[in-house]
Amino acid sequence: MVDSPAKMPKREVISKTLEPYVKTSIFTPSDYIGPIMELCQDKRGTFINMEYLDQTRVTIHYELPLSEIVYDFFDKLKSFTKGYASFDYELIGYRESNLVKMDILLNGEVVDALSVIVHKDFAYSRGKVVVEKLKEIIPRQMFEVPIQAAIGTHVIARTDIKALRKNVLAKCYGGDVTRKKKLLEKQKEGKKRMKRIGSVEVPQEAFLSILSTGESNKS
Amino acid sequence: MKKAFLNDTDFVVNTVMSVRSAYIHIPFCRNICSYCDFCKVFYNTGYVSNYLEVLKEEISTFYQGEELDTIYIGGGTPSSLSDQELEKLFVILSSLKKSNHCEITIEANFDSIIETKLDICKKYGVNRISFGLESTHSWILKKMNRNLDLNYVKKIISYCKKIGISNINIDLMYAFPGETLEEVEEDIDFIQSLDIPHISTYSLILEEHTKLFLNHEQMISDEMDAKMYDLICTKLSDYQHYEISNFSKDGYFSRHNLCYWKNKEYYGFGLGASGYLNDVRYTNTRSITRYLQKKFRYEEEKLDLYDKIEYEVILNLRTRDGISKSEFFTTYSKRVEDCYHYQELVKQGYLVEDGDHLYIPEKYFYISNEILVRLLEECKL
Repeated sequence: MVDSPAKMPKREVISKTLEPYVKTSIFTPSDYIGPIMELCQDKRGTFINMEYLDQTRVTIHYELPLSEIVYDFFDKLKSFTKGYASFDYELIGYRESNLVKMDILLNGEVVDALSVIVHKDFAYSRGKVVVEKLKEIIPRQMFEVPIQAAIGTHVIARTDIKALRKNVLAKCYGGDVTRKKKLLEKQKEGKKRMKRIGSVEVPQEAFLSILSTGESNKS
Repeated sequence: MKKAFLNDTDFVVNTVMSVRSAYIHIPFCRNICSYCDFCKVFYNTGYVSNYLEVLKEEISTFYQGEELDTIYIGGGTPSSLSDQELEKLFVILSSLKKSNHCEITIEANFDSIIETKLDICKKYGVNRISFGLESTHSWILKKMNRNLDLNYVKKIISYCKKIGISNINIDLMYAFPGETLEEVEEDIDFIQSLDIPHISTYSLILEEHTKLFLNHEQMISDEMDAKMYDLICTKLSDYQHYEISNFSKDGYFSRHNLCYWKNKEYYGFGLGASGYLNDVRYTNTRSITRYLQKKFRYEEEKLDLYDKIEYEVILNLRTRDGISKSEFFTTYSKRVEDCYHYQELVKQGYLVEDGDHLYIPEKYFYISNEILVRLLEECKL
């Protein structure tokens, strides 16, 4: 039983992987059937059936991997349906899935805390989304930082954070002195909230950002 | 090129904690630049007259009679004053005692300065002028809401030298939205053709409440900004790059500005002026109404030893020669290395330890805030 990416064994020793599944019941106005079905498909859902409660409201049943609904499924559901939809779910056991561990490397070093288990078919797109998200979140460092997503030793996505080129108060005369001190103190406080991983300073938000799957296509 | 330390004979190191400098603010302007965040007021004769009266009173209230080494008249646009008003200002300032080699600077714009005003300045002992050029490109000047006649610039600079004011500074702004590297180069070429001993350069900062900010102008990227800075440093390599944004020939460093960067005390008189006296850093009100009601002070920060040490470090590290470890010890009875763990930064090359001096190398000037934050994190106090 693997409950964190760090505990995932090497690929060579795995014969099959299973993940928990849920059955969801999504209650929505019928106007939003299309976007909801697209969302569920993106989340590796299997359509079960749909019941009309009346002319304008439906219940849609999907089976989905639990991992696909834990992070932003609810937010996306609400956003695609202007807040009208709601959903229920129940665990229905384990299903076989082609899962792999995707590692994130910062400056060439694997960062265990950023590893995530993904479905192999979605790994490339997920990897791209995650490295781009990390590039947005991690501030520039004193040197260029490559960010890579990899499965084993195979790099599947990559981007670079350019080195810091400007962080200065160019003009500093009498009236600027106290302002400069306040600015530096603010930057110092900002750094306290960061975690140092190797030689890279990483904000807390980065650790949550690896769960993002990007924007679904929606009408 | 010989590296001249800032303790040259043209600069007196003042380790005694007494006030040797005064800043006077003249907030009046004939027009407002689109990027300007300074304390300014539209020129109006009535206001000027009242202002000068109140300024006189502020000086007589706070000035303790010390002999001053530097006096700086800044703004706004001090040269927007008429000849008579300028004369009146200097008469007021005659109450300030000046040392034999007192550096007296006045700021001026080319669209308000005329020869008669320069004569008045010379008459009252002004020996340094700082001109706001900002750009030579008409499309940029238009966006800045500034006027400039390049031929007049040359004429006025010539006149300054003719009447014996050779200590001239030119201010240049760069990284204006849409500006190119070539345009920056052209600005530097023009300034170099004027043959003046001091240049100050700043990248544009988009400040809130300015016209540029409100027009949602797109800032230039950090990469381009930094490239422009590098270009300026390269082109001005025959000047001493003695502070992050200041370049000077030998003997022409701004002694008044050095007082800020050496963390010395100074008077600040006038609307919005800041000062540092008796361990208190203060700022005057920016409201002309309140100032004319003689409600001078807006904010005060009383400094304890740790504040003073922190200011000492963050200000001195703006200069090429950085912190003098011996001066630091004389002033604070503590060694720098007992106050900050800086050895790691030295190992990484972000700070250089060279005999008595601890400084940020020129190649890292543009990321100096990053280095300062790391240094402050290593405070042992």
